[in-house]
Amino acid sequence: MKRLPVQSAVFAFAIVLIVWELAAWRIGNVKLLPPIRHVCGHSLASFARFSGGDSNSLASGFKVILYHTGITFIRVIIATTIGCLLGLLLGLLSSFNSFSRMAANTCLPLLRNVPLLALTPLFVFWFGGNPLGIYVWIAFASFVVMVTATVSSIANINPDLIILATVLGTRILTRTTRVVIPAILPDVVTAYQATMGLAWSFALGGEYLVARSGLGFLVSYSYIYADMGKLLFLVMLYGGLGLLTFEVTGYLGKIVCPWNVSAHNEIRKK
Amino acid sequence: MVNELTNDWSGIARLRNATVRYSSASGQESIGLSDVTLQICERDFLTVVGKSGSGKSTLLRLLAGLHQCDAGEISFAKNKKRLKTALLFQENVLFPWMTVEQNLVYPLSVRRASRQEQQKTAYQSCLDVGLSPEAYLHRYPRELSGGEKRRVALGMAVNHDADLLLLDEPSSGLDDVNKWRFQGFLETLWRNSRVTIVMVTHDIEEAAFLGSRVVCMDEGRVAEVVEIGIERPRTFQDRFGNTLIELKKRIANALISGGT
Repeated sequence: MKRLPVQSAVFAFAIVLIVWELAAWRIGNVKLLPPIRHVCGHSLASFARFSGGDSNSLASGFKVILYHTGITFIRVIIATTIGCLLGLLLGLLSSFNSFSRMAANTCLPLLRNVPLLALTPLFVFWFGGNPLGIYVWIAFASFVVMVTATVSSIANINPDLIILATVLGTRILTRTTRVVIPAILPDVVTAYQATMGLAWSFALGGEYLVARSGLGFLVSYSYIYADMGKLLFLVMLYGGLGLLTFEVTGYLGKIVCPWNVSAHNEIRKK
Repeated sequence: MVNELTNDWSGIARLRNATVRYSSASGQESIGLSDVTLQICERDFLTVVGKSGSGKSTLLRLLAGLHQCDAGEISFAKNKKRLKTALLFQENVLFPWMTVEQNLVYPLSVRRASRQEQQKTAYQSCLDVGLSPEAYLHRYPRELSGGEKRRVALGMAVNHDADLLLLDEPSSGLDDVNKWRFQGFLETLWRNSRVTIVMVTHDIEEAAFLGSRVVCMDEGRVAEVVEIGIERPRTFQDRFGNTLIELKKRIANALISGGT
């Protein structure tokens, strides 16, 4: 019987949980590797301490998690979207003439080769404890990913499509809106999908260092108090949120580019 | 005489000693077209044959305005700076994000025709290229076979309402039966429309069957222009007739000898 992708994911997740539970039972030290029921029970409830609530109540802990997830989520969505739009715009502008193309080809390899997370302290320094710094940092990192993807995608457009549009009388602006943008759209959607996944790490980097709220702030405090249960809970939460945004953006991508069938899907059909 | 130009010229394009050179990244120069003199008359169906690298596609690109002459000149009827051309690529180039309907009427949308006119034209074009509008208009290019894509590309080119239709090996990669069908369709299209066609092909039979004149090219030069005197409409039987066989021999000789 053919196994569906969802079934495979559940199966893989179940194996991870079993291995975790067995390892925790074998180690027998809650401070080193707590079992799942401890993480989802005691650790979750103790998040309530961040708001001064009842640390024995799962609901209070859950409320705190929900509040901080919401804050990070808003930061990720707003900053990533702004960064990606700017990256797309600048990438498109780079295709207009040879000077902008040359400028892009010189600057982008520089930016691309700098480990983005290594730049986090710079933004902390520039913006101090201001949450605006987190937005700017996520937007900048998303911008770098998107502008690189856009420029390389434009370079890979089938030149015959441009020639066809030109011969059929399409002018430069119409050519950009009706040929260049649709031609790069599948790559842009994929880059946006990847950036949304990465944005959670960018947010973690920023919040970890400066924020007084958000999931990165929770990670920071859990680390200070060496609370392995909370850290593991947050790891799972980050994983779940990353997966959720990846799937949602992937679904949106299918709506935006209905003509685009990935080779992966074709192989899966066979 | 091959390279002779008439003074009372009433054609739509004329090349006089046209030369096109290519420069490689290493700075080496190669010849695309060398001293080509040729005139294209209105309602001509000119077919161009030659070996790979003989300058066929360069000639097509020059006529499409995608290349400039490095020496010699190209002039168009009524002192136009360039012709309104449509180009059909051998790789079935269609816009993959557009449906068949949107591809067919792309030239109309560029010139901002009304939505109603676009819909009407798309429906009629789909019929003209031998596809059922109900079944095909809403499909994407990836859902079409090679032959179907070619028909849609041809429909799009025709809808550009061009002075000159340039076809770059339009039947390459098709099996014999589909090739014959496509050729029949092309001839009908040419007879029913007022369009002038220049078609590049590797296939001597195709060149002789479809063309009014066959231009044989060798190393960037015009080796010979063969007049095809077979009456139209040309039938399936004409393919196997003695006249066509003799013409094919003449074209083959011109290609082998390079016009010397």
